[in-house]
Amino acid sequence: MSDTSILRIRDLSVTFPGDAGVVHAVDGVDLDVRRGECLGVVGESGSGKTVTFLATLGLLAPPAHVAASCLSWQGTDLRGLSQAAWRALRGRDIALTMQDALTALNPALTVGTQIIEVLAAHGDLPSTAARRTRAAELLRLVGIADPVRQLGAYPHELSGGMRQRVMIAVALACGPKLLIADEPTTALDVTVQAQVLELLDSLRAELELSLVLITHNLGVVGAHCNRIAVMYAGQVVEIGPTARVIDRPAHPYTAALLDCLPRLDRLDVTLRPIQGSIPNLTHLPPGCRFAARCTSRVAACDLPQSMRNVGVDHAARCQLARVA
Amino acid sequence: MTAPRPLVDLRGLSRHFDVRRGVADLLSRRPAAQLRAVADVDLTIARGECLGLIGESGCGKSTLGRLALRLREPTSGSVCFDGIDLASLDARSLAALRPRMQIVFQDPYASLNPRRNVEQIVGLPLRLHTQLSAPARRVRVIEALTWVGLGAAHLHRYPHQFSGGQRQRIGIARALVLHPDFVVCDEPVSALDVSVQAQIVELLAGLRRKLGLAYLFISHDIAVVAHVSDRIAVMYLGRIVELGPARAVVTAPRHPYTQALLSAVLEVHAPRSTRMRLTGEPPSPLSPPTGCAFHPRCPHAQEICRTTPPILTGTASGHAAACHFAGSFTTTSARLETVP
Amino acid sequence: MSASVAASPTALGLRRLCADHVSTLCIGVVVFAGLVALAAPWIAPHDPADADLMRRLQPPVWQDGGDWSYPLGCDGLGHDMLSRLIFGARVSLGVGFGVVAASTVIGTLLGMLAGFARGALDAVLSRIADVLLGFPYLVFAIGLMGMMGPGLSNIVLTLVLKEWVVAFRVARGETLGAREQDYVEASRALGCRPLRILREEILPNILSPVLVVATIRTAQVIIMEASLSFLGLGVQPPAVSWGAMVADGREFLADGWWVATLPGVAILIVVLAINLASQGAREAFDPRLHR
Repeated sequence: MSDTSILRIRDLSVTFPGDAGVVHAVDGVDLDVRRGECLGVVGESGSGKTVTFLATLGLLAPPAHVAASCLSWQGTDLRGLSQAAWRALRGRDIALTMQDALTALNPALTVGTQIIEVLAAHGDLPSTAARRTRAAELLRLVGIADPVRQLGAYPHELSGGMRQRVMIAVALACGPKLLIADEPTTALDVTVQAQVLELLDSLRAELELSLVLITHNLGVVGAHCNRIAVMYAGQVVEIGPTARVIDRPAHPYTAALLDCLPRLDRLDVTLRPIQGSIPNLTHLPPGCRFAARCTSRVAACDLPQSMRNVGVDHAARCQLARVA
Repeated sequence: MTAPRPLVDLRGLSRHFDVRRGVADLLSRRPAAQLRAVADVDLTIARGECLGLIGESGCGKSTLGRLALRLREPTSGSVCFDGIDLASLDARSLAALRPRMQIVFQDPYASLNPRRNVEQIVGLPLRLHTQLSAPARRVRVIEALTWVGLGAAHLHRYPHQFSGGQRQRIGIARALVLHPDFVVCDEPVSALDVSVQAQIVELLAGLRRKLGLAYLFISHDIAVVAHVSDRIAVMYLGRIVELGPARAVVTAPRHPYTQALLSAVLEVHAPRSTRMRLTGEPPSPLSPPTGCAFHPRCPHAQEICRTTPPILTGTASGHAAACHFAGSFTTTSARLETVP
Repeated sequence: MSASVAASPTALGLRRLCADHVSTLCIGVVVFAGLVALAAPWIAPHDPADADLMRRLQPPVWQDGGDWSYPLGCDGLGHDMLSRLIFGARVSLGVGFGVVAASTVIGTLLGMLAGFARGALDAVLSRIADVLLGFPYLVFAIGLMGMMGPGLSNIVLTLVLKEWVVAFRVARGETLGAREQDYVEASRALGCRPLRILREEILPNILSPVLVVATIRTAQVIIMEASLSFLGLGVQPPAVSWGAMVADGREFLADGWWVATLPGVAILIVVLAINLASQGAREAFDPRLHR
């Protein structure tokens, strides 16, 4: 329980009514984001990784139902915040970027206009000229060549990598302390992914930014994050320092996920896929949600599992995880 | 001794698109811009071989896959399947040849007709190309479903009742039900969850061994491609820039672009080696650079690279690269040693 | 995965529709009106053409002077209102559904061909459709009816000529989208011929939006027919139409309000029910709203 945590989530639950029943998208998630760190949140589809942060930022509207015992940003309780208070918080203190920059950016407005919009919304800079200058500065900050000219570009005129950078610029316009990047590299080519991740690294150092990287790509988190949280079927199943989680995963899902990735240094080895598929979020088993696919399953796995400490700052939701 | 005739033989294959011109273009009398999706590709695929095709977005690999099946018409060049020039066939003969060459698509959510059930989807090829009765078709459909790990219980279900991985299996069953010789796999696992990707990759590899299939395996994920392929071709801006045995291309790449790709791949277990930095943005296929298409981003570019396009030339072991200085720079191969 | 019961998208949509009580009620109203129309000769208490000047402007039963044998009163010539309303339903609903059915079939076929084949065929058909759409509805109808003369078959012809364009546009747009889908390319890769692709892959997937638009247009066609009949261009006496009844009743608004109002109410109820039901159908069957 470090008190350098700036974002604190305790027992977050999010449910949606669906055709076939209530969908438990997020169930009892505890997460902390600490000052200055990069937290990687890894999970596949249905893990609830994106919904967790949308709910935390108050971006989910009814019929979604959000409940938490604690949701605080630097001491401010985020639950029940008014719309006006949210508008002041989002963008200024916490910012969010999304996966597909082409749909996240307004196609009818130039890039410059969109950055200036954010600056105007938070009312820091008095004049249009000052805002324009700041917008060009931001584009330079994210590594876009010829920023003044690019202020007049439309999103569709830019490449995927550049759009992602623009989205980061929009997010950073008002100097937030936390950036939540949802799948920042998924839609990009490998060479461009590397550039964007390096940009995020340098921005973190330069601006003293805390970062949450939501992704399904373990390679991304392995190289750039201090801590990793692994999510499965709406729960956090493992959380700990990157090196520990990757070298000595405590939860069978994490281990299996690491194991099933093809590796360039092991070309002849047959891949070991995880059999089965993610459980139906409307009909979840009472016990461990990964049990049906787990090779280490025992009878006690049918009971509800809770997070157990398995090392320094390292916890896993599995009773078989041994304290290292 | 001459090598046996390849199953698929692409020679000088090119596909250009003319960009539509607006009034301003016509008035300014600029020549029509051409988008060269595929430029002058020579490739062969032997019976039972898996050729991997790697490249980033816009390199033309998907277009090449469609050209190999003559689902698109090339602008120039030829496509030969088992010695038959596909351009010489009329529509009916081409349709009759289709059972032998099939395709698996990337998006499992778009590749199955949402209004048809599994039996109808996987049975369509049988209805089109065989005279089998409905019960006989059902037997074949169940056989194909069993190959991909599904079964008779799934016959009457609709696509929306399946997960992405299962839908992809149905697509594979559809492609295999006629026992083809050649399958183009166009990014077959890119749209799937990581844990499911491994399932489908192993499934495809296993089916290839079992049924003696030849694959053109297209993907942007190098690790996946290297895992299933015998040989790998690397595409950049419509051209093949490197071609060779999979292990050789991945452990000792001879083209700078391949080196850059490999060093950019983020692998969980690999140490953070120095990345070969590529400067600048990927070029637009509408206005490719002169000379070597890669020269603006290449850290080793020389004068000759700006003027003369390099030709794909190879070593005796069949590892070729389109670079004037192929093989003369060291590669960051520290992370690519085989682990026992 | 989900239930062992196979559930086609159509079945799922129907299930959703039945769960929507408002839509189900409205569908019931429309069905009821249709049944009334079909059974008109047997359930109408009197012959609608039977005029008795003694009962001229007899009020409905709930007013002074009304009686149960003519529950909704009589019009200016002594015809029974109830019987005329029942027979009028035949014309209104018959024209409504008939025109929409014919125009949907024609428009969908042409739209699919245009959207799939593209090229010259698409260009020609789309231009024709654009020209027809350019005519204001009523002006077009009046002009055509003026040339051809009034009557039921001419009304149907006129309205079909204007309505097919709507179905054409919807079908063409949906076909343009559907033909880009991978499953259509998969069929091509299997050697499927174009007509077969249209029938098996494209048609089932565009049917849902096409039918929803058709139900929406039914209400519009009913109003058009009523308008044309109101203007005297529709069916001629002794045939009965709600629109013509409203026209007849205009002069009696002061002392015989029911002559114009009751047919108007009938039009209102049917059109409202169709609109609400089609809204519900759109929500139940639109795949984009239900993932």
